[in-house]
Amino acid sequence: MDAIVITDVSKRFGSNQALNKVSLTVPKGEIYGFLGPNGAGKTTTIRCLMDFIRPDSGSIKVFGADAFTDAVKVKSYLGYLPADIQQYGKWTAAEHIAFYESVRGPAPDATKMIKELDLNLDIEARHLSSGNKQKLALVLAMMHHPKLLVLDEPTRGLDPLLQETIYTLLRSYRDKGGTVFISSHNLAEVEKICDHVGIIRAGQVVASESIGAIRRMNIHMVSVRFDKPFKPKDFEADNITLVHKSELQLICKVKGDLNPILKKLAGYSVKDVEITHASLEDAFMEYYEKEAV
Amino acid sequence: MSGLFGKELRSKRTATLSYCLAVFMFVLLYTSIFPTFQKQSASFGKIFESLPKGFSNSVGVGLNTFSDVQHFLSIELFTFLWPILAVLISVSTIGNSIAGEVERGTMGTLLSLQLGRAKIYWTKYFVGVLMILAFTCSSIIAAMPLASLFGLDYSPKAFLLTAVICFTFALAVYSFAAMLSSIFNEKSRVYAICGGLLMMMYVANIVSGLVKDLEFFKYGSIFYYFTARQTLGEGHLNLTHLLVLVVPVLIFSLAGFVIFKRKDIAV
Repeated sequence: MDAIVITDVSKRFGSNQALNKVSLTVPKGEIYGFLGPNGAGKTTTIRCLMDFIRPDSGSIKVFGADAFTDAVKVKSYLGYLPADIQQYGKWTAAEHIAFYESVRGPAPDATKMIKELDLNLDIEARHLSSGNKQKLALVLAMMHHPKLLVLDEPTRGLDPLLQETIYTLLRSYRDKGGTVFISSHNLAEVEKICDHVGIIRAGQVVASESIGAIRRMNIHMVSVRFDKPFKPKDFEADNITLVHKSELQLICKVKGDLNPILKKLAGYSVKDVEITHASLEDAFMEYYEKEAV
Repeated sequence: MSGLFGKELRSKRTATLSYCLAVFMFVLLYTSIFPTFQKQSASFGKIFESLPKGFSNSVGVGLNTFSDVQHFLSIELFTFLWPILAVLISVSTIGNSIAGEVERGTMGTLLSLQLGRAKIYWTKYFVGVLMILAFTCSSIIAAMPLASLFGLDYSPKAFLLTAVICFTFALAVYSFAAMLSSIFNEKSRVYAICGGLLMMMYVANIVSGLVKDLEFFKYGSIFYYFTARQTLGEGHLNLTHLLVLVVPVLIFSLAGFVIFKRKDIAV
């Protein structure tokens, strides 16, 4: 059974169509990255999933249970970390943990996580730094070892060390059978930890692929240094997008067949050439450019 | 005790104790000074007789104001002080509890747990009801042992009936505020609308007693049905007025629940 199945979910706020027939499937036991720029509909999708807001149409199933009619059951499956963390200012971390335990029952992983994240339990939440608030929110989301973790931009504003700690925790959680649905606009982060990725643009899912499939999209970055000035016209073609050019250097993105550009290069004296697979960012931009046409 | 229930009780502990202590101190003050005022009742009676009849009816003063502690408390406590404190405690409690949590974003914490919106709403609602009950007891029920302490005669029935009408009045205001708290995402809007509306109702009730042509205004004012003064003074409860207060309790609390259950909470 898939962890999350979102089918044709639409949501309108006044004249703004925030989500337009969003459909995606999050396989169980994987880390699914949900990508999109600000305002694309990531947080709205998560709020619908969490039953904070109700879609105008469509359905969301979490491990087979309906997110709206069976919201309490769905919540028992998941741990949630919001983008804007709001905690009870006068409560200490210990009081937050105690409250969660009073609702969800004893948390087996709490002590271990507190130690791993070096979280001080005795400070009131209003006096915690943003990093420590994030640590507390992560402990609260994960300490019951839920079946599904829903994380809305979990590493925003965190230092690289803490980001790395969070990636390690998420990988370990996934390896123990947990599923993670993580929204982000940090492409490097998604590429680093996710198994699957969904891309949302203007309220519509434009791609939902495994990271491997995205890498296999047959997009290459070609970087060439020439001995002598080259003719840019020689490198104008439908499948070539110029990224950078100078008198002796050319960087371009090639979609599909590489042979035409290699044949052109064969007519020049080349000092250095580097051909790499496109990064997730390039693929991401490709989706955006394609959809924007 | 459920986690949410305990959390709500803890969060309202200080405010409840403060309100209860404040109103208790007022009752203690009025009860302790009553014997002194009673000795001066003849001179006060003359002053009250010289006031316009409509005005003295509105504020409830008359020849029997100092006849016993019940009449005295009914004027001193229930003309202005008790309803104002009851309105404050009712509106601020539920305004902060629902709209306030949405405003601060902490409602997201509750909604992300397996609590359910019905449980969240009704737990918050009933903890507020307990708070109002504590406030009613510390002001009205507590007046009886205080009266005994100062050797004053009183009718327990009158105090108990007064507690019933006062509690229902506060609940009606509270339930209306609960509905507004479910509609709006800012507690200040709940306070402003409740405050403005109750102020208008209070003035309407006073004006209806002073201007004969505007007498019908009183029927639109919740303060007309708040008959604590008469109940404590006469030991008789007007059931029609009580019923008029019970109906909004049921309607507004349920409306608040339906709205809270259906609304989009973007936290």
